[in-house]
Amino acid sequence: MIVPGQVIVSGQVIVLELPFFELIEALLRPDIPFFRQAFLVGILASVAFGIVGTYVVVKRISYLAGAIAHCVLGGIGIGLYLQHKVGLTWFDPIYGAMISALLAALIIGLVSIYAKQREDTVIGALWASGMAIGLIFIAKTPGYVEPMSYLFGNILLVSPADIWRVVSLNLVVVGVVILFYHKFLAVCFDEEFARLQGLNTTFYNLLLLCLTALTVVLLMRVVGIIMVIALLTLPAAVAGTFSRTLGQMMLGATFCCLLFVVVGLSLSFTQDLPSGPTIILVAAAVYFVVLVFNRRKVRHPGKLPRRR
Amino acid sequence: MSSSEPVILIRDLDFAYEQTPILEEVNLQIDHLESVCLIGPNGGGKTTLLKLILGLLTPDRGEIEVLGRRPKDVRLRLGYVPQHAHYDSLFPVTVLDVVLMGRIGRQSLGWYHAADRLAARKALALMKLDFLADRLLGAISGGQRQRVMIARALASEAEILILDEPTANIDITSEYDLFNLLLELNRTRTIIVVTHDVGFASTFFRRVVCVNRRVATHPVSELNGQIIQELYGGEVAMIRHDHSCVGNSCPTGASDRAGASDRIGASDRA
Repeated sequence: MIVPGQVIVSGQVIVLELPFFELIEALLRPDIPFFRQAFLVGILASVAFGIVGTYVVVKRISYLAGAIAHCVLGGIGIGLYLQHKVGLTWFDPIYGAMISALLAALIIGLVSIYAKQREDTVIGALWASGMAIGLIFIAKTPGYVEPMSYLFGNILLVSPADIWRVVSLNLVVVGVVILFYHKFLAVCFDEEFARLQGLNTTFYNLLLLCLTALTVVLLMRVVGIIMVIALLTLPAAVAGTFSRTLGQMMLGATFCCLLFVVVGLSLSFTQDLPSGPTIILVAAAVYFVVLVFNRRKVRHPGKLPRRR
Repeated sequence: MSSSEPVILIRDLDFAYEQTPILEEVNLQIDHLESVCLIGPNGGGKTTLLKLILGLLTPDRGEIEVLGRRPKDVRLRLGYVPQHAHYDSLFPVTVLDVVLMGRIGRQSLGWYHAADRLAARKALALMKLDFLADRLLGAISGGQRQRVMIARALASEAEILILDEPTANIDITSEYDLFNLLLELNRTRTIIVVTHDVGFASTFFRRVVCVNRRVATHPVSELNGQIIQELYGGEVAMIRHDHSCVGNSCPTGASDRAGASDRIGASDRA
């Protein structure tokens, strides 16, 4: 029996049976703009997520990206506090989130470059401190603020201004990648060699982390701080299994991300499920299916090649 | 570059990590078109010496000149071939893209010109890898991958080729191919190789530089059990290596240069 909205996974294809009219009606209804906005933000953000996620996956820095994402809560907490207690009503928590994300990216980037021995410990400490600062400021903010909304996502928080932020960031990300595509490729593939070729690898590493920071802030309200890293890495990981170049992987990841967001949000609406977890489970399900059915042969270095 | 000038000149060099001295009072001269091999035990300072030559580290004391200048200023004229073991075989990158990275330092914004593609294709052809240009790096064999890394270094039109442990992950057939290749490349380039493999060293190099905190240079004909034992300390298993002769063909030039009688290998690899 097919329940409306059920995802049927056959091979790698996902067939969806949705009560489409209900969904489309909800998207068009003027009195519930938040759903339409969340949908639009998710679709547009796929571009930045696909491109930045590809770099996070091939450079294996999802741990750093995770630390940055969690530090964002600190900025949100301070932002809410300034808005409600200090009276800076124009200071939307999104500004606090962006500032803290960039700050965290720079600090974490420098730690990962210079603190070779205790890198993971220092980053773990920054990760937890960022969250702790956020929770303390939220606790001291008058009125009821629900930290759960930020941690796990809540599409009611999406505002029309978010759409413009996503469009601007997409332009920045695409512009930077067009300019530095081969430089980033060289730095991601073999950092030492890139440095020997005269590339300022510190600059490219920090630039990449700053783009990661701004990107995770974009979909923070849709999927939440804790799960946003999965949406950054899973589409790129899926795309990586059938890509021959970074460019193909970026296109594939963008498409996968878009698919996961659209399917996840639709499911969450029709089945009355929380949006963030639904999107992430759709992404994870596809990822595991691809992982199991991926038949691409790879020769691993370190083993002796067979004698001819 | 005139052939009489040394391409690498190191005078009274000391280097330490924190409080641990790694290299002391190093004096070394490498001439144009020489082929030199750095051997020594693990932790003896081979890789450190290499990084000093490449300008990735700076000496605590003493001087180091590469092509008459500071190492940092001549990086684009050095071709570095790192140990290949750490590459991610899932990385979506083609062989040609990897070789093109040898040209990345010449671009301000990172888009390659026709000249760069030509240089990369030429380097691939020299390594007899043209037919692999569009293959994924993860899909070719270890020996081929090794040659891709050499092609990447050649694409930069380097005057000095520096290879770190080139025989670490390849079988004897590939090692033999590599050896012939280095002979060919040595006609127009100075070659420096770091290796554990003293057998490989004795078949190809004219001069062996033993690195174990201090540095001593030996002509390859003097490389015997006693020197190796002093270098590695204690008992060393001796193996006679004759793998410059595989099948029926023996490269005559190789035997002449190395002195086939004293090919000795110290096997400290587990």
